[in-house]
Amino acid sequence: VRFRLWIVTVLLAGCCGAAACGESHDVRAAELRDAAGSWAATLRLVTEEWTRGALPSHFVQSTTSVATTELQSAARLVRFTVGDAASAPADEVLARVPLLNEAVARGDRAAAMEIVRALASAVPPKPTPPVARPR
Amino acid sequence: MKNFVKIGLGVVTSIGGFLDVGAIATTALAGAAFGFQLLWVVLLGTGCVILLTEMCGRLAAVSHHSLADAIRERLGFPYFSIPFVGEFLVDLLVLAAEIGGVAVALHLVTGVSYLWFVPLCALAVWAFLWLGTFTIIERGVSIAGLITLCFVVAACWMHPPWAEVARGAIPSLPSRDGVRYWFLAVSILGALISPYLLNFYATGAIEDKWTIKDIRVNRVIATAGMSFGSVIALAILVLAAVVLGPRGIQVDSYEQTVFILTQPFGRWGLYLFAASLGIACFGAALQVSLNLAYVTAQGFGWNWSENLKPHEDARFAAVYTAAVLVGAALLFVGDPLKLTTVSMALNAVIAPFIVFPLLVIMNDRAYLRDHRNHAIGNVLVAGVVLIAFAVAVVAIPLEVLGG
Repeated sequence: VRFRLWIVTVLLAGCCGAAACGESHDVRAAELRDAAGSWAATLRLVTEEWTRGALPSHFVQSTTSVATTELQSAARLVRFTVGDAASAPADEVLARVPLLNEAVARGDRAAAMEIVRALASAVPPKPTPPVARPR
Repeated sequence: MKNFVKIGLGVVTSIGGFLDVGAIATTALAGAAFGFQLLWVVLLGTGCVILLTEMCGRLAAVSHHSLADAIRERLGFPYFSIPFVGEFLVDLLVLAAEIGGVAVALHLVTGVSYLWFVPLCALAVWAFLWLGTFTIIERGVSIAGLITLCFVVAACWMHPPWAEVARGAIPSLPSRDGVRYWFLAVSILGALISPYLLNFYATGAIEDKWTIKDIRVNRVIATAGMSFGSVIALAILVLAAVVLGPRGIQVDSYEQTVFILTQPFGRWGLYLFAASLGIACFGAALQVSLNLAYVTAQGFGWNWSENLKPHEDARFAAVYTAAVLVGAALLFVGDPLKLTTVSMALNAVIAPFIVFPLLVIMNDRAYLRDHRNHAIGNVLVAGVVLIAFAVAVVAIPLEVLGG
């Protein structure tokens, strides 16, 4: 009886642990997806503001630099804990950052807008409506 | 007329004291992540801080004791050492965040890494403290801090849905991301009920030589000053909810918060944001550095006054010099925004150790004579103490899970 109890306990603990790890993996992947969407939206807005002359080009480049640093470290963690596939949204953003930097350095506003529009549709952000009681 | 001038200057100073890197960062984070849902926390924090600063000012005006001084004298050095150590460590983190805020403001305008500006900003803070007087620090920087009113103008300019904004004033439970919601609520409370602000306010009243005659002035300054400061913090939350949230932008760096002013003001928005952040953080860095020196000097019975020459209170000057050095050094270890959110949550942890003794002292005839707390005042402060304790208990777990 003691042996069976021991096995049941180990199995229960294993199930709980697996469930917790599984949930944690899902949560981590979802967090990275949200972060990538947020940075894609940021790059779109910063480029729009640069295009209309509201922000200087050095500001766009420092924003892309922060986005790269943040997403690289988040993607590394998710790749290590969840798997390579889970870091796809971040990789999508990271792949387009050099192209955006080049377009901004050239002063090519149309190309820059094209890149960030494509990025925003590839990695859609999760909007929060400006309300007090979201549904 | 003299009182009106005093009130006007006091209100302006209180606005400067209220708004710092913590208030700017936490309200921007909250607005971007939860729309207007956390607006009630700003109102709750404002109510608490009005109550507490009014009491600290009354304590100073009647007994000529600062909060640290009174805690040490009334409850003894062993008790005093608990909030002292906590406040000293947390204030160092807050100081680092404030110096980081000034450096980030310069980085936003120039594009040069903020780390290059950290030594320069620390030197400027130290030079102001070394060469300036309390009046220059209190009023000069606070008057310059009125530039932060641009957030209020921008919030009106963006035509937010005012009915929804008003609904945000009613407390509500989170519909998603509960841990993050409560973490931000705790951080906002920590940013608004800053322990450094309480002792600095009381010490400022002593530096300004307040007497019993100034009790009414104190009441008006505490209420109006903190309320105006709160309006600016609310404006930042509303702007983040209107500009960043609908686009799905979460605030992970200061670069993302600039949009709240570039959307309404175009290119001027960047400069206004950088100036607001820089001046608010510079003022707060001066206040936190001074408070570190005040608390230490008052705790150990040293000479202290920002109006004295550094050689007349050498240990006082040595403490703020060392604090500025350590604060600047911390920025080479941690990111300014993350440092800000962590230090604001830790502010919430140490708050009850400072708020509870205040309740005891405010009922002591030896200190307050006929100006002790009334029953309603005591009930309200007991409520603040309970909130402070609840927030302190959950702050660390929330920091780990949701920070």
